[in-house]
Amino acid sequence: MYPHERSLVKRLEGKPFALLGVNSDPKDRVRQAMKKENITWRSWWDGGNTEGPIAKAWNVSGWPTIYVLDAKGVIRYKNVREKEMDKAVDKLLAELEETK
Amino acid sequence: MKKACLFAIVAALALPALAEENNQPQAAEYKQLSADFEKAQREFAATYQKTPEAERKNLKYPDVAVYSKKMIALAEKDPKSPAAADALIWALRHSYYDQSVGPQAITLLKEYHIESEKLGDACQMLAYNNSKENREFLNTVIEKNPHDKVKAAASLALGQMLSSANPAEAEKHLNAVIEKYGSKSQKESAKGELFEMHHLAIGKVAPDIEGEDVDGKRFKLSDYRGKVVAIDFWGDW
Repeated sequence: MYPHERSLVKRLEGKPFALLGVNSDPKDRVRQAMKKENITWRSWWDGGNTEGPIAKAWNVSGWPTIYVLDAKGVIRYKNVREKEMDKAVDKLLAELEETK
Repeated sequence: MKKACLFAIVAALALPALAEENNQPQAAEYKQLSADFEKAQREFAATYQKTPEAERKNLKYPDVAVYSKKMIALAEKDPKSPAAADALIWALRHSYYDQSVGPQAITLLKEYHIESEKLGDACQMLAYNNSKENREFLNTVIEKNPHDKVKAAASLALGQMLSSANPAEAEKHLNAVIEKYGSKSQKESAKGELFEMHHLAIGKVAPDIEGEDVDGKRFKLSDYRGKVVAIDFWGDW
């Protein structure tokens, strides 16, 4: 997942797009992963385990879980991965471009 | 349908194996098979950790189908025995990897073990495949199994299975968990599922997220209005 996300973020640099994480690792683990894997995008730190408040509020029971939101904050795709995720994001960016 | 990920599956597989001591040699065979699989899994996990990310896709997960088929064969020798129930439930719990044994396992469980207190463990995996057999089986469990926690597990599975295909039916089952059968944690799961249906479905405005990053800096999802946002619940495991 890291290589794909890295390339997605890089490809869309300067576009109205953000990848945001919700991380369920202990702090030292997430710091280490962010450094080692060159993770440049922001993550909420969800308390160090999979029972964190954000994961709980979002009823997340499998990891990774992905949501893709349009610019209005509406949930448009769930659990799209890799190429599917690229397509979803590109489609919403094109949509946003059209409404400008 | 909610997609399960490797992590969730591995967590589910880590549940203690169900074993019966009193019906040899079927029970012994069941124990051996599940222990063999767990060993293969541990070896896979160890290799996976040691392998660089780029080469990981070449690694092969232990072939669950082989074990599932042996479990079914074991059960068929004496399908009434408690060890047969364990073996069939094992096959269902691992049916994420090999769905082909599902219908056989369901048929035998329905015929010989529909009142088993252990059936709850078999229900969760059925939620991932909205098939006629799975729906009928779960409904039969709710109707005939005498244990509330098993009825609740079947209702939860139906609630998850039908959350987008048949929301009204899903809500009925989830409410039954909350109002009738559920343990405290089963009620929590049902409430979470209902919340997801009402607030986290495609087309709904996402609830705001407010929290801190790893350095303690606060930020909100709503700060990103006007941008396309991908939210990734992740962990480095």
